[in-house]
Amino acid sequence: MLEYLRISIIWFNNLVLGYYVLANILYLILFTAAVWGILKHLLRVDYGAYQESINPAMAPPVSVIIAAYNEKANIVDSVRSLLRQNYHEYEVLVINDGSTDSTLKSLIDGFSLRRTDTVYRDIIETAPVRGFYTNPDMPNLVIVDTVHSGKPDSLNVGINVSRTPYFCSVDADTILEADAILSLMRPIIEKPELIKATGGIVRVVNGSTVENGKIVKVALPSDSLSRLQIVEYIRSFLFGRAGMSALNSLVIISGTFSMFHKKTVQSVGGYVHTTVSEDMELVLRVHKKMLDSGQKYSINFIPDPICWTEAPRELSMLAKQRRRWHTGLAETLFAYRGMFGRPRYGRIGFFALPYQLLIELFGPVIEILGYGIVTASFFAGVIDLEFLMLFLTLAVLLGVFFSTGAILLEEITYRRYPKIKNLLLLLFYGVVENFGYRQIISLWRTQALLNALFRRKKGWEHVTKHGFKVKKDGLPKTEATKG
Amino acid sequence: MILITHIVILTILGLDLAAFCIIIGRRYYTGRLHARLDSERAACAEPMLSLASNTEFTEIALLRRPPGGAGWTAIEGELFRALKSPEANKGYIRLFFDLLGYTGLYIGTLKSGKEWEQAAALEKLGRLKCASSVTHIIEALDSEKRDVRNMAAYSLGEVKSDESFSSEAVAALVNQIKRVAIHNEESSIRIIKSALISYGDRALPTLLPELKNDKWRVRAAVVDILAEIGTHAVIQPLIDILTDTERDVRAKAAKGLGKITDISSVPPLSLITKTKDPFWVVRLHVVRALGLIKDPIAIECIKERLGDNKWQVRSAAATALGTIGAEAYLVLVEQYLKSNDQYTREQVQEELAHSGIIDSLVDFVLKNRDRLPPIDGPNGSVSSSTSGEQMPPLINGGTIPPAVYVKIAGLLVSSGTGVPAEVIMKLTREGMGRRERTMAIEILNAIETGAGPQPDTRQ
Repeated sequence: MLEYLRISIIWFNNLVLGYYVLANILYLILFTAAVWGILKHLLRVDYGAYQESINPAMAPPVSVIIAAYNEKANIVDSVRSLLRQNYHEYEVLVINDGSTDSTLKSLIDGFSLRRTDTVYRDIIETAPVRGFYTNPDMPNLVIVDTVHSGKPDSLNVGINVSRTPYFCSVDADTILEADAILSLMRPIIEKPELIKATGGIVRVVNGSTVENGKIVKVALPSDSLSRLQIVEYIRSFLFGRAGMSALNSLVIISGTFSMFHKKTVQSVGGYVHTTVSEDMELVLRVHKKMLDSGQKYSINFIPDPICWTEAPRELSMLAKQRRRWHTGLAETLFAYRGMFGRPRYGRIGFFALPYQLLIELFGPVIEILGYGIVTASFFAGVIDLEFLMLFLTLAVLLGVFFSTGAILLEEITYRRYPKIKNLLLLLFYGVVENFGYRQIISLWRTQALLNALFRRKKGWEHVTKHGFKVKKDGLPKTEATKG
Repeated sequence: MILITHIVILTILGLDLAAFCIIIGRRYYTGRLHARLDSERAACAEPMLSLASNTEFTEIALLRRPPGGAGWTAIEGELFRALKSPEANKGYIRLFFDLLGYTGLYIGTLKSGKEWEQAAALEKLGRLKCASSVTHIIEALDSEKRDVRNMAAYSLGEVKSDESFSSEAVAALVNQIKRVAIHNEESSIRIIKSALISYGDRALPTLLPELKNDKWRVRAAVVDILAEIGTHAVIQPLIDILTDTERDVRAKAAKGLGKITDISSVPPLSLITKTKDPFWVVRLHVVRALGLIKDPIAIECIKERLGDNKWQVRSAAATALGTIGAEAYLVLVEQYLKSNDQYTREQVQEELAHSGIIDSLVDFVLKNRDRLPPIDGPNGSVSSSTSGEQMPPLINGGTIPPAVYVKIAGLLVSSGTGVPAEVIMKLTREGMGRRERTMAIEILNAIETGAGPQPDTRQ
């Protein structure tokens, strides 16, 4: 019996090792693809007036949709940043998703809004709309008040109200770069028949200073949790998403800020409520619809920093967020299981979805099991101390390599953290994250997967935000109060 | 196994350290480079100030640097900065670009075959408005690389100026648009359009014949360009093409006329509204154009489209009436009160709410209540000579003469039903006179008993 157990442990160890090798080879491929894709993109941007080469009147109008639920801390700053976009024609639609705090009042006061009668046509069926609010001096701002029905429904309300051929969804706690819409629209302007959605790089705003809805100073926050997330975001976007996009296998566009072709989204029925990861679900549904109908299309990622979002500052909030993300991933992959390995779905069916399943969804489970069983193997005498130490060292060094690689990409490309101290801190946290942070994240993700499998808990867990570090005219910089 | 693991670990450790060193090294190198650039900029600050302020400066040797170095880059950047100065003698600065070897290097790079360098050189030649390089830029339009072709088109649009107008450049751009229209290269079309727009009227002799091109995409692109050029000379050609066989071309022509807003296009646009183009996008743009032109003659035509079977057209018609303002509001209110078509009423209500007229109207009613018609008086029977104070501007910037306000107020109070709830709410608030409160109560009673226009259920 003991022998069987020993053999099983050896097999499992080999499995973990094999998985580990496979995962890191894939990471390496993604990293290489990301470097190639980002440098190619930057060369285009670098050669001068690439962004300005098209007369503004030639770019299609865009609707920016924000679904806001209890976002009083940031909503006015976010909307201000949206109203300052360097884009010739766009409207901002804020959907107040039945907030129970003073989100609506903040908006009404902040923008001197008044209630107006507007016809609401629910081309995509939604929950009832309670009212529209506008300001004659801001004709491109419309606030829609709805009964609380969740983010997907609010975004659908926005799509129904939108009067433009493209829309982008923006989270309420987001600050956009001035050229964000232009950056996302540029590939669409180039290939409007082909590109159905685009996304870009999301950065963590914690620690940076926001003035009148604009980032005026980029800096690292004082708390370690936010710093760890900054490294994580850089790695995720600069190497994960950019790599998948370069391989034409992008299945996730961050709901924080993404652009969609409205008719395509309407044709697939808009956002759905059946998952907590409505952004990924929508992208997959668009993939499926396009591939089923045999249409040529593309979903792109632009490796430009386009927006800044607030990351959770408490461990409990981070846990909620990560569990929600992983639950959403599990639900979406389950919902689209029929696409796996089917020739009709090409790279999505053969590479993108299996990657999401094996590496993203099951990766944390195997990592957690690996830690446990490899350690148990050591105590059971199956492996010696040297092998255990070598394995753990390898795991840490590989983790450090991919984080450092992502920071290198950031340094070569955008250099958003100008101080050398900030750069050294990022490198330091790229090492430190391998000792505890990565493991705890994996643990939460494992819990989320188990919850999803056994249907113990579902639904959107709201993450409390603190508000941006703001600088008001004539006032010292302050941390906004807890929202 | 252990040995392999050791080797792998050492390799990855090496990679980690290498990445770490590259990051720090790069930061150090970039810092030094910026410092050198700053130092070079400081060294040439005085001559550059002379150039930017159009003061004579002849010691060119002070600015000469070997190509590729920090000094070369710094001087290049400063020359471009000086070129932007409104006081600068641009021709004189261009001479410096020539004498210091920048222009020659850019033109030479066009033959390099390196995509990104070619594109960068093209962009700089455009920014420089280097007339002598037009022939080279036109040659670049034939490049196999799309980015190079696009940047060449962009540069041709930038390079033009009064003294360096090149009919060859326009002809080359028009030929390019014909070429890319066939392949439907949207980005290229947009860039070429942008370039041609910058030539304005001077591009017309080459552009106008293309309105008869047998490819509709070419015609559509030319219509877009004409609309953006927007001078008087393009109006008749756009009117003529309103009857094109291709619906997209017709729609673009109507949209273009709306941008130009010349009153002479009202009759042909009105005619299209009456004949009801089969393609709804054409109807939409025609109605929008009529609204933007703001000629009250078009009110009746636009009113017909309030009942269009496409909500986008109905919405555009209501907005167009709101844009025309004044008497057009009377039409909107009449339609709101009298129309049997639920969709028309909804659209009109939305426009009335958006325009801000309801608030203005309520204020007017409150301030001029003694002059309002009796509750049982005929619609709009009040003399237009009744004076009241001028109302504040509406959302669309228009104003309404007091006489029209009085007519609208008369319509509202005498109709009894269909008055927006907001008006009634405000009429019933405290401080109102007995007569107004009685009136409001009667209106509310009428609504509660279901009197007044009923929603149409035909659709």
